[in-house]
Amino acid sequence: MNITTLNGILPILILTGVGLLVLLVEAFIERDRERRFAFILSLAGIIATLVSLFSQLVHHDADLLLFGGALIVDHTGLAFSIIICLGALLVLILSHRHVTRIHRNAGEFYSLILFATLGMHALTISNDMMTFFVSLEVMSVAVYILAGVNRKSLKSNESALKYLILGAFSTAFLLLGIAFVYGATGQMGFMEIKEALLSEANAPFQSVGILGLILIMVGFIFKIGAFPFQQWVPDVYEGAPSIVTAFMATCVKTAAFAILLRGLFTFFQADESGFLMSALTVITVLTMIFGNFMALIQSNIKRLIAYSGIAHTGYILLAILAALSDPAKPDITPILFYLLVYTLMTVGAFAVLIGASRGGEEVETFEDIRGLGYKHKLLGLFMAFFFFSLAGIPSTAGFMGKFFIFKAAISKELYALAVIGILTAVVSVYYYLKIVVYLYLKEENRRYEKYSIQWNYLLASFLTFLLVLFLGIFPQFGFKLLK
Amino acid sequence: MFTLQNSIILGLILFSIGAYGVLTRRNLLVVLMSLEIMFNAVNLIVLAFNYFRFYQQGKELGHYFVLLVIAVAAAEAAVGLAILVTIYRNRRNVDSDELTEMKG
Amino acid sequence: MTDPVVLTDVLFLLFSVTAIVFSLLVVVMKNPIHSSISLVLSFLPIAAIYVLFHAPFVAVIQILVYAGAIMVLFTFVIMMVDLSEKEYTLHKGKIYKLLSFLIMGGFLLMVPYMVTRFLPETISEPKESVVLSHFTSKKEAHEFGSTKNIGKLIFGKPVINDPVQANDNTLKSMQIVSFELASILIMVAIVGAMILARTRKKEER
Repeated sequence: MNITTLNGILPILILTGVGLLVLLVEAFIERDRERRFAFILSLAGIIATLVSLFSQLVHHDADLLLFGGALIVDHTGLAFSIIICLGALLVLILSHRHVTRIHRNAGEFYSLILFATLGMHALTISNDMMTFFVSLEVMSVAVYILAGVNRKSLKSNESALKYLILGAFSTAFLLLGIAFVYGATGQMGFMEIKEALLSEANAPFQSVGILGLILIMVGFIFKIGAFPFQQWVPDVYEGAPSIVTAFMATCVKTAAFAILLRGLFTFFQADESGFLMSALTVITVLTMIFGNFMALIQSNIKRLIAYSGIAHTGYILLAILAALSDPAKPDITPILFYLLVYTLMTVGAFAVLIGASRGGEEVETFEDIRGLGYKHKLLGLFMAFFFFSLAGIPSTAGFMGKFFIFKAAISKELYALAVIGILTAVVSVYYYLKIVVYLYLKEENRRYEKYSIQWNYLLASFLTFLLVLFLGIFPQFGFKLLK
Repeated sequence: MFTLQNSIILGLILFSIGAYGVLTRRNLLVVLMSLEIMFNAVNLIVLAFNYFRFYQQGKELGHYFVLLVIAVAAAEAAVGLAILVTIYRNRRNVDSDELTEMKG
Repeated sequence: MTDPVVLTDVLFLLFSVTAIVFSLLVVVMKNPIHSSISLVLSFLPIAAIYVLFHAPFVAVIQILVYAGAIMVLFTFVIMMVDLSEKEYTLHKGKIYKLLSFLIMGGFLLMVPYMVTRFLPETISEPKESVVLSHFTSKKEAHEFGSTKNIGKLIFGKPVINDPVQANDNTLKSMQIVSFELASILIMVAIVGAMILARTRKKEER
């Protein structure tokens, strides 16, 4: 085994090893110390992965093909993986102490997070259909289990089962697509498939291949929760434990976008009819409109975040469309920047929501957060800031993210899409501000007891707060990092 | 009779039957079984393509892909059934008749 | 003597009809036990069709895994969950049902159209003489789809007495990554099933 290969798969190796170790911790260490030990171990694992990914990114000069082209270590994949690992790191910090409220054995929870992260990383660097499909399943199966990890809550179980059934249903369509693509080309590697689809010898089977690509797209639209197949998102987000929802809303979405981007950039030239592009445009518009308007009428905060997450998916799709319209020199930094900011904001918002929950009850309705800004000043401030940022108020990172996307769309002459995007973003300000208003809404004749929250929620929200603030004021640093 | 077209038609019919079961049946066990039918239909299509188009080239990639799909289907079935058992346990305690916690 | 081509035609027709009938029974049957038995009975003809496709190894795995493992799992859960008490169901609205009917009907109607349109000429079974001309030997042609070949596909060509070279072949194999990831997937599934479904004495109240 040569050193390049080893370096390329080092993140995967670290995550696998640490995941297994964390599982074993439970067997050898007594219960009281187990939780802390497992926490430190998995934290170290994720940080080591991040370091390894960073070093690969810094020393990256040419795309590295491993295992005969099954994995491709390139700039895009590494950048996506870093965003994912950052999200996973924050979720881990958040879950310390909290985890035993939803599941008895912390080690199992942490190891599932690590394995899901492993699947996501493999997904972002996968370069053939089989690696892609299996890593997608590693990620999905781990997240199905995480959604149902709170065994005593019927709601959690049901959301897990619903997620599993619909996820497997979409996987079946994805597989049908892969079957058609394989039938048309006889290849599994992305590059080989592209070549075969474009070659003359395969001309009679080209339409079968395109049909397969469309079916794969259908599977993807489900995974990212875009318009026609978004119905599962709010139900699953609502039922799953908040911490898992934070993980799903950020990391899973980022990973799905990473592979969607790779697939689109590889294949959309093979589609001469332009069907994929026009379908994607329609989906983008409908996703932005639907997500924002459904979020307006929600009374449950988790459902609201779910619908607004659908809207954010729409904005990222818009950025992808803008990048695709210039295939010679695609500029994907707006996508990466937006995903980075979105991950930070969402995890931050969840950190505050989880931190604010009292006595095992999760924060759900607007009434639950009424007057939070008076109960805990710092927490209220953070929460208001995160929701301002999600709404895209100027001087926050959320604003910069949206700004770059709309700028890219306008410079690529996608005026109609940009206008729809901006209008729906204005609509979104209303429901985000509604939350902020509730934060500082006082009931008459009532005194609010101040309360303290645990350090890890404060740490996670403080870290994300700093990062979001920093990226909002100096977005060029984020750009430099991701470029 | 034994042609690529007919094999694919067979696969697609099975796929539709499975999809129909997932969408309309209310019993969760049967829904999971219908998912297995869908995965099987995909396997059939892959192997049909592999035989009719790539047999001459001695290409067995499709076979390997089918093995992977079988492994994945087994993993998903195991997790799905485990979740089902958990739901059953909780339901026995709370004693409600139907999953009405969440809307369709 | 029967013409071999006709024989495969008859077998294919027979197996596909049984597969379709039993799959339909899975979906239609009221009792989940009947469904699970029909499921196994629908897997058997499909495995037989795999043999017709010259995929003997996959056919064996199909029977071992589906009929042997998954079916047992389903039956076990059916026994455990005691369905006589309550129906374990997912809530689905009427409009939802109608919609899915429409989608599925449309999909089924599209099937023959799609296939005839997208696949221009009828592709029938590869003739043995043609096949043999592509392989170097008759033995090689008969080994198509065998365990040995699939092992070679995953781990690269075996090299005797040279571990370095053998390692190198494995590293060049595209399939090794997905193979290892599949092992992780199965481990995740095992851990998950254990996390979700086990009970502790203390927890039972």
